[in-house]
Amino acid sequence: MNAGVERLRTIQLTKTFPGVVAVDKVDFDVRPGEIHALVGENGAGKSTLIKILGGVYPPDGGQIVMDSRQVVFTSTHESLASGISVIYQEFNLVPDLSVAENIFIGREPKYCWGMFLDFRRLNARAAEILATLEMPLDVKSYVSDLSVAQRQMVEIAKALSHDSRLIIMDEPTATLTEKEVRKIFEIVKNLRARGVAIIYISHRLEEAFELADRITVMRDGRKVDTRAIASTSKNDVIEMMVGKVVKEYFAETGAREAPKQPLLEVRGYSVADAVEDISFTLHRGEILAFAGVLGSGAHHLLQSLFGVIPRKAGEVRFEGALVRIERPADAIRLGIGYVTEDRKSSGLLPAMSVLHNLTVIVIRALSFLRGLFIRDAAEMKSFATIRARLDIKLAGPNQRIIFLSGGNQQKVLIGRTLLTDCKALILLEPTRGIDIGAKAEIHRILRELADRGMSIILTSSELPELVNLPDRCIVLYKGRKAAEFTRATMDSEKLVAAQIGHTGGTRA
Amino acid sequence: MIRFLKLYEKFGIVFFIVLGSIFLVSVTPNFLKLDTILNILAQAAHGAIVGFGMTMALTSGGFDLSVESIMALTSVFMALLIPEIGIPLAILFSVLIGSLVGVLNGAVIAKLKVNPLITTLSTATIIKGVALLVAGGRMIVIMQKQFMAIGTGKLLGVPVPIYIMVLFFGLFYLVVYRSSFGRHVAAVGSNESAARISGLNVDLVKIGVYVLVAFASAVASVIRTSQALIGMPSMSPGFVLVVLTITILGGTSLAGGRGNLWGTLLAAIFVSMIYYGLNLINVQVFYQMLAVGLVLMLALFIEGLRVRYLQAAKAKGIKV
Amino acid sequence: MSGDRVNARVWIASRWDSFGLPALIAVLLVVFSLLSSTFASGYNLFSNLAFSSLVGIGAIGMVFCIMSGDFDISVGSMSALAGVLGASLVGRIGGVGAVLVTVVTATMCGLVNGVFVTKLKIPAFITTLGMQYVYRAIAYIYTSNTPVYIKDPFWLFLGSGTVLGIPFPIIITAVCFAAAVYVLRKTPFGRYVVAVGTNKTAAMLSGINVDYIKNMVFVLVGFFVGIATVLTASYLGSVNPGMTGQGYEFQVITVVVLGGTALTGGNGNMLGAFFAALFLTYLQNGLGLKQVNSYWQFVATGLVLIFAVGINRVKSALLGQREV
Repeated sequence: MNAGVERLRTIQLTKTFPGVVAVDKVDFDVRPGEIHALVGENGAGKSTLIKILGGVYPPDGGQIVMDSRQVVFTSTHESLASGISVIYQEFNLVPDLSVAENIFIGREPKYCWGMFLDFRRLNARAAEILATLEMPLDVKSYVSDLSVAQRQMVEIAKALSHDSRLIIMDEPTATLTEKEVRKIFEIVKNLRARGVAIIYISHRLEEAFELADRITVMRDGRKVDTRAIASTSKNDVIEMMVGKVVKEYFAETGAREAPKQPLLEVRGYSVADAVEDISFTLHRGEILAFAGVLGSGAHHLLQSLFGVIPRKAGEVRFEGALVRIERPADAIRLGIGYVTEDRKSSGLLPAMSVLHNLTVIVIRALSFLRGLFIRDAAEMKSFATIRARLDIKLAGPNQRIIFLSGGNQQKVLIGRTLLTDCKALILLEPTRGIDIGAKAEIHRILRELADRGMSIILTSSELPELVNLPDRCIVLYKGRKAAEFTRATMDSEKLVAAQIGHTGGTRA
Repeated sequence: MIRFLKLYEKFGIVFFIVLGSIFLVSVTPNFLKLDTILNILAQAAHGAIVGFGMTMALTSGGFDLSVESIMALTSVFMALLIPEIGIPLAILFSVLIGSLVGVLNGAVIAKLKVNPLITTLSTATIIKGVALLVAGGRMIVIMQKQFMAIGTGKLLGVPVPIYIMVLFFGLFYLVVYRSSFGRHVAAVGSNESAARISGLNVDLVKIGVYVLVAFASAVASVIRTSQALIGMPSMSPGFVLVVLTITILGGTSLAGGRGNLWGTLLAAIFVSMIYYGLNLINVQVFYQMLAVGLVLMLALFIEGLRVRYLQAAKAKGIKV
Repeated sequence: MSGDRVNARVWIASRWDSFGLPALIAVLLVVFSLLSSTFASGYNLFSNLAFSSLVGIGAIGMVFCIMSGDFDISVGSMSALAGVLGASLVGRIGGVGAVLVTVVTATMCGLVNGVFVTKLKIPAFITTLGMQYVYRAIAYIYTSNTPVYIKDPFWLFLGSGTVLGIPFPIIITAVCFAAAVYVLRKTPFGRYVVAVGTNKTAAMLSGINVDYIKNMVFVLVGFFVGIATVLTASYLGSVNPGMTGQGYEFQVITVVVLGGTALTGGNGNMLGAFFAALFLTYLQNGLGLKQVNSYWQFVATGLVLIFAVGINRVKSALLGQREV
C-alpha cells in the first residue's frame, strides 16, 4: 500500500440541512490501491458524504482534494469527470439494453458520422473490461435478465470504463447470496490491485474486516476515528459506532408491565426473497420492534403481515383465530392499523386537506347510512379529538397536508389509524425524517397507546429508538432471526452486532 | 409455463400468422398463388410502415394518436401540389410538412411535459381541421395518372408498395437496432431517469421519435393517396386503431424499452390477411372494424394475463 | 414593481377556479355579441344554454374518471351504440323504455371498459381506444349503417320540451350537476375517487378498494354519457351510427380540463366543467354564426385543450401546488 499521496482527501467537509447537520467537519482520506470501509449507524452521515463526493449535493463547508488538486463539483457529471464513480443502492441501469450498452451508455463507439453503433468495438471493449475484472458475464445479455449481483458487476464495470480512480460502493452486498458476495469480493480486490481507491460502505462488519485495509466510523455526522483494520477489532468498531449518545435524549422510562395475553401469533412466516421462517408472538399492550439493516427483511415482514406484499408461507393467528390477510383492507377489518415508512410516496394523499387525510379511512362510519352522506359534525369531531390527543400543529383542518411539517404529517397518519380503533398498529420507521422534538412526542404517543392496551409492532433503523422504545426487540439478519432482546437484556452494542451479522453468542 | 410465456413475447405473432393462413386457406383455394400473396403483402404496406413508426413511439414509452390526421394532411398537400410543382417535389414537400407535425408533437411531449394522450389527441384534432381547411372540405382529385404508379405499379412483377415496405423495414431496423439513436430510444423507454443521468438528451430523443412516426405516416399516406388518386382530408378513419393493433400484436410492449420490429411487420401481414379473407367472403366493412377491435382486445387480454402470471410467480419465489 | 406583477398573477391564480371561467365566458359573450347580432339574441343564447348540456353532462362522468387518474376515449362510440340501440327499440317498448335502454347500454359499455382496466390491468387509454372501435362497429352493424329517427313524443320532449318555460335539458343538467357535486363533496365515494387519483398506494393502504373505485368511475362515465345521448338524440331527432358522437370524447376531455380538473388526478372541478361546457358551446356557436369555416372549429377546439392544459399548469405553479 503506498502511503504518501492520497487519492482523495476531504478537509472539514460540512453539509447541513434544515434542522440537522448531516456531515460535520469531516476529515477523511482514501489512498490509491486501498479498500477503505465506511461504517456507521443510520443517520450517521455516510449517505450524505458520498452524495457530496458524487456531486449530488454541494458542500456547505470544507474542501475536497483529489490527487492533490482541489476540486469543486456542481454536478454528477463533474464528479464523474474528476474520476469518481458512485455505485448507489438503486442502480442506474437500463434493463432493456445489453450489458455492453449499459456500460458505455452515451459514449458508445460509433461510425458513419456517429450514426451507427459499432457493436463489434462496443462488445469487444466491454468484454475487455469484464475480463480484467474476471467477471463471468456475457456482454450481449440484457440487464433485465441479470441477477442483482450481476447488475452490481455491470455497475462496477461501468465505473471502470470511466477510468475512475475512486469508486464508492454503497451497500454493494446487502441483497446478495454468499456465493455472489464472494464473487464481488474478488472483483473488488482486483480493483484494488489495479490501484483504484475504493470506499466501501456496508453494515456487515465481517465483510469490512475481510476486505478493507482501513476503516472509518461515523456517528452523528462526525468522523469518530479512522483505523487500520489490522489494529482494531469488531468490538472496538461497534463501540465507536454506538457511543454514549444513545440514552441522552429520551426520558428514562421505567420497565413496563407487558400483559401476557397474546394478540398476534406468527408461525413459520416466509416472504419470497426477503424473510425465511419467522415465528413470534405479539402480546396485548406490547411494543415489539424488529431491527435490521438493509436486506434483513424487517420491512418486508411487516408489509406482508399487513397484506401489502404476498407471503410465501406461514400462518397467522389474530386473537386466537387463524386469519388470511391478502390485502390491506383485510387487515384493517381485523383491527390492524398501518403507518408507512415513506410518507410522501405511500402515506399522504397530497391533493387533499389534513381533515380529509385523517378521516378517509373511516369516512363511511362517519356518514349517514354508511355511505349516503358525510356528517360534517361527526367528521369535525373526530378531527378535533385526534388533533388534541396527538397535539397536531396546523393552521386549520382544511390546510393541505403537504404544507405540514414532517412530524405533524406523521401524527396525522398515526391519527388516521387511531380513528379505526385498531387493536394492533404496524409502523415502519415511525420517526424517519423527523426532528428530535417530534420524535420524542411520537414515542410518548406510542407508549400511551400501548399503556391503554394497543399492541404495537414497528421496524426501525435508529438505534436510540430501538433501545428506548420497545418492550422487546427482535433483530433480523438476512431474513432470519439473529437475536432477541427485552428491556432487561437490551444491550446496544450487542444489538448493532446482531444487525450486522456479528452474533458471537447473543442468540436469544 | 414461464418459458412458454417468455417465448410468446418474442414469437407469439408467428402463431397468429399460422392461424391467419389456416383461415385464408379455408376461405379461398387461391391462397397459395403468388398473385394473392403479393396482393396481401402490398396491402399490408401502409399499415406496416406506420406501424414501424408507432413501434418506435411505444418503445420510447409513449404513443401517437395523430397518425391519421398526419396522413390526411400529407394527402391533401400532395393533391394540391402535384399540379403545381410536379410529382417528385410534391411528394418531398408533403412528406416534409407531415414530418413537421412530428416536431410539434415531440416538442409538446418532451419540453412541455404534456402526456402523449392529450398531446397527440389535440394535435390530431387540430391537424384534421387544418387538412379540411386546406382542402376546402372536399376530396381533391389528382389528375396526373402517373402518380398511380407508386401505389399500384409493379416492378419486376412485384407491387411497388412491397418494395417501399421492405425498404422502410430495413431503414427502421437499422435505426432501431443498430443506430445509437435507436438504442437511446429504448433506453428512454426502459428507464428514463437512468437515461437522463447517463447524459442522454432525452428531449431530443423524444422529438426525434415523434418526427419519425410522422415521417412514416406521411410516406404511408403517399402510397395510399397514389392508390386512390384522391387527396383525402379525412383519410382512413380508424386507422390508428389498426396501427396500434399491429404494433401490440407484434409484441412491442406498451411499457416501453422493447420494440419488436419483426413482430410489427408480421402482424401487419396478419391483419392484411384477415382483411383480405374477410373481403373475400363479403363481410361488411363494419365487421372488419369489429374484428380489428376484438383482435386488439384479445392481444391486450393475453398480455394482461401474461404479466399477472409472471408477477404471481415472482411472488411465490420462482425465478423468472 | 415586479413584485406587484407576481402578486397579481398569484391573486388571479387563486381566484381562477371560482371566477376564471365565468369571466372568460362573459368576455366571449361580449365579443361575439358585438360581432354578430344573431348571436346576441335571447333565443340564441338561451338555446345554447340548453345545447351545452350535451357536452356538459357527458363531462360529469369524465371528471370522475380523470380525477381517478384515467381517461376514457370511447365515449363518442358509446353514445352512438347506446343511441341506436335505444332508438331502434322505440317501436317495441315505447319511449320510456327506449330511453332506459339507452342509458343502461351506455352504462354497460362503461362497465366493460372498467373491467378491462381493473381486472386485466390494461392501461385505460388503449382499452378505450380499442373499445371505441368495437362499440362503433357494433352500432354500424346493428343498424346496417342507417340512421334511426326518433319520433316518440316522450323522447322528443326530453330534448326540446319545456317545463315552466325552462327547457328540459337545462333542468336535467342542473339535476345531474347537483347530484355530481353532491356525490363528490358529501359522500365517501367522492373522497375515495380523489384519494385514488392522488395517491393510489396510500389509498390502498387505507383500505380503499382501488379496483372497485376505478371500475365505478368508468360505469359513471357510461351512465352520464347515456343521459347525454338521450338528450342529443332528442335534440337532433335522430341517431346516426357514423355521425353520433364523432369527436365527442375530445370535446368532453377538453371541457373537463378547461374546467380546472387536473390531468394528473386528484382534485376535480365539477362546476368548472359546467362552465367550460358553456364556454365551448358558445365558442362553437359564435364561430359558426360568423360563417367561420366549420373546419376552424376543429383547430379551435384543439387549441382550447392545449390552452386549458397550459392554464392548469401555470395556476398550479403559481400557487406552489405540487404537480405530481
